[in-house]
Amino acid sequence: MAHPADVLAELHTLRAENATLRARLASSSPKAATAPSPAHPPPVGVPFTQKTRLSNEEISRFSRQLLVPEIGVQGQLKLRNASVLVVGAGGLGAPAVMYLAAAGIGRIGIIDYDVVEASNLQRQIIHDESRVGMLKSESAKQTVSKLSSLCECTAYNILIDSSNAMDVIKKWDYVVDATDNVATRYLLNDCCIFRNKPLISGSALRMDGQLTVYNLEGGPCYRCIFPKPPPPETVTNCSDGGVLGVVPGIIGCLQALEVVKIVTGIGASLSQKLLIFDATTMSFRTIRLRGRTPSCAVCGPHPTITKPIDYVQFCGAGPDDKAHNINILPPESRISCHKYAALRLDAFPHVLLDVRDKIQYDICSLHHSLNIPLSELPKRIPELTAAATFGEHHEPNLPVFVVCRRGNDSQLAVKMLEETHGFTHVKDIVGGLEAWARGRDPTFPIY
Amino acid sequence: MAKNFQVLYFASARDATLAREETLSIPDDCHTLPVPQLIRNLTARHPGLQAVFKSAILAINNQYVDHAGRELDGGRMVEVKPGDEVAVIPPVSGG
Ligand SMILES: [Zn+2]
Repeated sequence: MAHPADVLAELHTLRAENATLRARLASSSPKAATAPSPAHPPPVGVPFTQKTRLSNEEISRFSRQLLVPEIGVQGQLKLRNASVLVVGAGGLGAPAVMYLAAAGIGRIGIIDYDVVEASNLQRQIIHDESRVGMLKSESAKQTVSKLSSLCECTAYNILIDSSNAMDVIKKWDYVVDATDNVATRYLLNDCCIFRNKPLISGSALRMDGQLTVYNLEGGPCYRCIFPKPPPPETVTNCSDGGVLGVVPGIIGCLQALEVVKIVTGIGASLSQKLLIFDATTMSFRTIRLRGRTPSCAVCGPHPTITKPIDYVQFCGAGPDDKAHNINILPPESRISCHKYAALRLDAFPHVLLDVRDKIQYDICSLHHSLNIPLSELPKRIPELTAAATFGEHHEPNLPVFVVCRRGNDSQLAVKMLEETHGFTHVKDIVGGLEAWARGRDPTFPIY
Repeated sequence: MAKNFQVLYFASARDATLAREETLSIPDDCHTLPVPQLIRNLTARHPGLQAVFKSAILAINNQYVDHAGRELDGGRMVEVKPGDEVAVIPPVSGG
């Protein structure tokens, strides 16, 4: 039996030899080392060649789909030769992109300009913890390349808007609307009409999902059904209203399924139909929609919109689902979280009014705060008056500081208390609890 | 005999009404309820629906009708009948 030290020495020698041989091999035959395998996607810029036969690798990989009578070899080739643009690598786009890549769609484009955040991971399953901070489009592309070397994937790290949408959409056969805001939905609709691309449109919020297909074989467009955008105050986004992760997951999967069906020509699509998913009752309802509206501003016979417009102006809201900061109060009606923190340390007598909804208040709150949601404030003024009235007084005599999540609702509350309810010592805490957590108390949660 | 119909509220229509569904009745002196009158009645009942109806669509028995009550491509006019199911469907835009 060899001595352990001898074995180690021999191992060392063998490793060195191995490395030398590998280096020699690589330098003597550079072509063998660098030539792409047949399955490798062509470099960007090289035209995508249509295939008329499946490779053995493709036959093995897609065998379970080839065996489905509705798909078969011809269907799989159609998927292989199709290109799909997915706009948004979020809750809808994540499963949609993954299923499209897995199903064998030949080329997938992914548009997103956002960065992966921890709060995305509850639903955006194409990203993971190691990708936090990475561009979503890049993270999604990495997942696709791990999933399938047969899929040629293009990541667009852009904010799609009127200046670039026409150029981008031109290059793709189908467009999947997996966006999170009204302005981009109208933009995609209009550009899909101008470029004559079917638009597979999904949306989700809280426990609700919607799915439909626009502009397919003469079917209606988004504007035929919803000619006017919803008033911004009626639009809730996922970052304010919340969303149960699997709900956009289901809609995103159904979007991928609709693409596969449309590409391969299976069955009936959701063109001229609207699928409504209600997760609370687990019900799927299909509404039969109207066909094209003859007076439609974009797809009708006499369109009034013939090129992309200003969608932010049209919708009264920006192309994202972020909250935007308002600034409606004079400086004397506002206080920074640092100054407010100093007052708390001094035990300065005051009332802290938290105007967030109870569901948010339950997540976290500052001690000794009074929670009256903004929507309930007008009818609960007596509670605030009682809390702010100290000693022998009959009128509120304590100052009231108002806080919310990000410092917008608190400004509205201060304005309302001053103008409508006669409060004179009211201040908004600038930036709300997020500013408090970032600037004052790193142990305070941010949601 | 009660001339009832169901109204289902989706998405932001639920926030405006704080209801998922309601049973309402067609007034005694009518057999059916025209769609514009339905919208007026619902808005009077839930003022928050006024903003929602700026973009929400209506369906009667899972069939789209426009706010004037026309079904499909400007064709047949429909009115709400006893036993009908009306859905108020605002567009959802999140994702
Ligand atoms: Zn149209």
